[in-house]
Amino acid sequence: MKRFRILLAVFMCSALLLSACGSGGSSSNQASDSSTDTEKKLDPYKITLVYPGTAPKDLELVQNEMSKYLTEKINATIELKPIEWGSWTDKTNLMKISNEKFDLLFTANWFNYANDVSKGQFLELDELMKEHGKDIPDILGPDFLQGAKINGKLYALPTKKEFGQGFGLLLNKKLVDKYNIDTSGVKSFDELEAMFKLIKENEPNVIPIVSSKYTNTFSAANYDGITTNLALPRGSKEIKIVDTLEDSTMVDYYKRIRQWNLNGWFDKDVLTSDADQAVQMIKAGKAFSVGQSLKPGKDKEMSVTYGTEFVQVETFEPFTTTGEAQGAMLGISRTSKDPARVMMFLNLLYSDKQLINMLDWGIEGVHYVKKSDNVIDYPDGVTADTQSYPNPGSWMFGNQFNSYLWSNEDPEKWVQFEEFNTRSERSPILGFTFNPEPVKSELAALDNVSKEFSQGLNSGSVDVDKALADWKEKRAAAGFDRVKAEAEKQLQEWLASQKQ
Amino acid sequence: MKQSRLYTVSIHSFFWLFTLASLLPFLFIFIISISSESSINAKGYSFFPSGISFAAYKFLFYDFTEILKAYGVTIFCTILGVILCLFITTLLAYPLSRMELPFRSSISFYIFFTMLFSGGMVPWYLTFTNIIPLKNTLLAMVIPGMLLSAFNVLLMRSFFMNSIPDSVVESAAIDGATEFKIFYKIIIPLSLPIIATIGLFSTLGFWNDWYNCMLFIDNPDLYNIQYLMTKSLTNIQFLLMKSNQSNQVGDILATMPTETVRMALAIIGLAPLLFAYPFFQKYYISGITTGAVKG
Amino acid sequence: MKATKIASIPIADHKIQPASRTQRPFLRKLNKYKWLLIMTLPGIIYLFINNYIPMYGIILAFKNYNYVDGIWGSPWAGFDNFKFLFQSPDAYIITRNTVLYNVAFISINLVLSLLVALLMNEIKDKVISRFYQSTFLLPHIISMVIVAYLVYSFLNVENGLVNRLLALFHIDPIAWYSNPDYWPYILIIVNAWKGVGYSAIIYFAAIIGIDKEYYEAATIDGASKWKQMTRITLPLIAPVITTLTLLAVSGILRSDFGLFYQVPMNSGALLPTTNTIDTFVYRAMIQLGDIGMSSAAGVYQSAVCFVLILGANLAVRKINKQNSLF
Repeated sequence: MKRFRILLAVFMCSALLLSACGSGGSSSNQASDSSTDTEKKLDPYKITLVYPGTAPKDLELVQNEMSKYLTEKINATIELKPIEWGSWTDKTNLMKISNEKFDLLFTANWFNYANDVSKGQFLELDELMKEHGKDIPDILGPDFLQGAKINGKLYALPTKKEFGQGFGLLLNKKLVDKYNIDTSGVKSFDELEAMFKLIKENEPNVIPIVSSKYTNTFSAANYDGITTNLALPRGSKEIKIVDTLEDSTMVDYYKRIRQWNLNGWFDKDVLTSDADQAVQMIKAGKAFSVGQSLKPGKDKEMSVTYGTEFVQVETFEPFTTTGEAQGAMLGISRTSKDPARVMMFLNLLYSDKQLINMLDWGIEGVHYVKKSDNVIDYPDGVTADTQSYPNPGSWMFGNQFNSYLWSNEDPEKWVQFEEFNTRSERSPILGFTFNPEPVKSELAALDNVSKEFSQGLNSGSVDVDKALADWKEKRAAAGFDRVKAEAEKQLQEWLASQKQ
Repeated sequence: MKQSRLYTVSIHSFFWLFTLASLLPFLFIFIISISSESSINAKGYSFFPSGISFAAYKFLFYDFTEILKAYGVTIFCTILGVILCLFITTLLAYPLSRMELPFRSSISFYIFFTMLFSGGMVPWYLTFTNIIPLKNTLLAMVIPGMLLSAFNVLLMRSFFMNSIPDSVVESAAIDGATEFKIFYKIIIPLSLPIIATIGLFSTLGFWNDWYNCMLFIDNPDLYNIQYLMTKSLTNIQFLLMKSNQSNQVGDILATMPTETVRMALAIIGLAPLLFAYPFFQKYYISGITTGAVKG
Repeated sequence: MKATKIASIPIADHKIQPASRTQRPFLRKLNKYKWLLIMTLPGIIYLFINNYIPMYGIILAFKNYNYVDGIWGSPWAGFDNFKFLFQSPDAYIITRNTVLYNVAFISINLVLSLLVALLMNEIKDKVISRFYQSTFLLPHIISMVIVAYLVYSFLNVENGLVNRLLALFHIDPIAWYSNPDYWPYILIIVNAWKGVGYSAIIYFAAIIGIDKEYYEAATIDGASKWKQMTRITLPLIAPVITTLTLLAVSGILRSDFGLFYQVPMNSGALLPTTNTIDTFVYRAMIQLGDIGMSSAAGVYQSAVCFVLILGANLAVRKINKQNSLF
């Protein structure tokens, strides 16, 4: 599932984002009011929250603090259960299969959301939200809630965050300064290549670009992906699904990237290296850039989290697809023993400023200090390198706009966000979700086929023409035509329903 | 029997080739682990590095907790697993060696059938997670699939039948000893060789296991050494990610001799087995041969 | 795993007659042996959980599994899972890979280990022979994880020994972990490296069990070494060879998961030549979460293996009744 992978990559990078914040708009008192009357009736309950990420040193400390707070509010405690990105798919699949008890699971359209819904992993939330999550609809707004639905029903709650995606690269600021590289505006391929060439020639020990993530960025910027190899090209006049392997934009790109690889611009682990490794290598001064999904202030956020300076450079204008609303969500597992309480917790996550900031930043005075009402910084003696509760990724939880702003961030961030959201081009099929159920066995086979070729092509490690020819041949045997027909049929149905 | 000189020499050279093929790979990763980074940059992995450096080991020993923890898990599971395995296997094999046992053939078939047919991995996994919730427990690396092999039971049963004369049991029974007493006073001491053999097989089984850990364990604190190595092979940074200073990864990475650390970890993971091997190889070989010929 | 004694599971030697006439002696017998029967309980219970419950679980292959309804409640799917499996190109690839690898493994290992065992018999110095045996066995006792590390040190694109050696002959480096064409050879070599020592020791043990008088007589008759090997040694250990080989053949649809998962480092690009039924079952379950297809592949494997084992046993019985499994 191509689009999953594209977005996966993009979001992997943002795993350690700091968040936007500022005028969240809702008060935390509301929520506590609504829960006080039920408080006495509630039995103690432990809520398990499963999300991708690395366990930080002070996880338990923060967990205890959150539990204390939650006990007061809804008589619940919390267990934070981060799972490394690398083994997320395997481990969560095993958790689902093995009926493990957990309450909240991070999910997204690039993380098998639709598939899990069809297998019944997530509870339907509409009723629960009406009863125990009264604040959520107002905070999220109809765009997000509508976008997260499958067949008209809500199975997971999206994070309130930016509504659109920018595309480009994160660069090593030291080298940008050293060579006086211009980072303004939207860069063309020629400009990018000139940049890599400059680095390769002058810095023999620095890798110009790490990991194949830029390929994911490229396809997300140029296509609204529907399913494996099928997408609507951005800016196309008519609404017609194309096969990305036949589309000249993608094929030319593969050839270009192949040349990059032959030029020695990639790292030697490019087949397996991921964005996180890339950022670490940039920090270590061993690399220059990595492909990234962007939004205003992304470079500043990354700088805070990683303790090294980044500069972002845009290579494409922002784009909004259906994926946006389903890009980061929390779903309640069918194995939850008390879904009502979990919904109460979700309600707090959207409405209660104190709770979300505890999850995002840890404990005041220990992990951060307040500079003003909304702005925080490290306590004395703590740096990005020594912090014991690095941000788990505010974009994964609740209402990002309630999250504190970091003191080196642009105070105008929120304005920029709005600008960004307007600037972002809407896909003409925004709102369409492909239902994989009718062709699931074909998709499984196609996914296996794509596993064989995509990494090689994405990283320019294989000969493009040969790989594409082989891929198409195997794809045909795996039933690609049936999937294509199904996608076209579903899209026509959707278009027809939109006209009414 | 006179053998021509050429004949002897060629046989021995053949065997020396084989010996080198068996041993050199181990030597190779050891040499890589102590090569200097500049040597690796210049010559790649080489049997003759241009410089020696113990940086990789220093690096691993700097924060040894992860490795120690993983070793702890492995050692605990191995000890517990071997004890349970021997216990169950011996208890099951001994009664089967007594020809007069009621249901003897039914029980034998019950055991034997597990060698013929299996339900497959999926239902097996569901059994040990849904019916018996072992996920994320140390027992998950001891119990599922590891405790009893039908082959071992049959091996042990034939040892009892062949090496312990019926008269021993009969005379003990006449003296009024209970079955349990006969078992642990007479049978056990007489069958130490086979117990040692099966114990050795199962020790290796538990020590080398990563499959159960991969399937049943989410919690990095419970990873065993083999699985820690599995994770580190594709991503050496995994070792660091897991450690507490996750945010210092960049700095550490800048100084870390990536290429050599990987091989140093392999050596650390391999060392106990390599050191122990000269001491147990004799028993291991005789174990294989008893299994093969007498079994 | 020669199984002469295993053979003694005479299914029909039930002496217990369920007729009422013998009720009381039967109860008396039960009582007499109750402690022995109790001793077998831990093992019986363990096998029940570990082997028999999962056997019942094969109904999963006939279900359209969903998490909510679980094993029992999920709706029946008939043979749909099998249909999907066999319609996909995977079924053919994994079957082909598994079978061909096994054929190669069985024949190459057989030849090499027989050669080693025969030559080892020529070494008269016990100490040296011991030394050889234990070094050959070393690869057998290490885990596949370590093997993967060893292979990686040879095949790493940038620093690996093989590519560095190729460079000496001005051959371009080969991206071993992304080119499936080489892997059949690599895996065959790795498997032989790890396994030959083990089976050689088994054959060697069989050879030294041969009565020395045969050889003495042959020497007096002036038979050459070669003649002795082919006319005495090989025929006398033939039963061991056939039993071991037939057992291996009956497992032709099974594969060593570690070899095919760890050694290629789970690289997607290598799937065309490294995917076997076992790795497919694993990936279908874990990476795709497709319980139905995964179980179907598992049942397909188990069923074919079952038939093959029965067939192999029949064949052994035909050749030499003593060596049959049951």
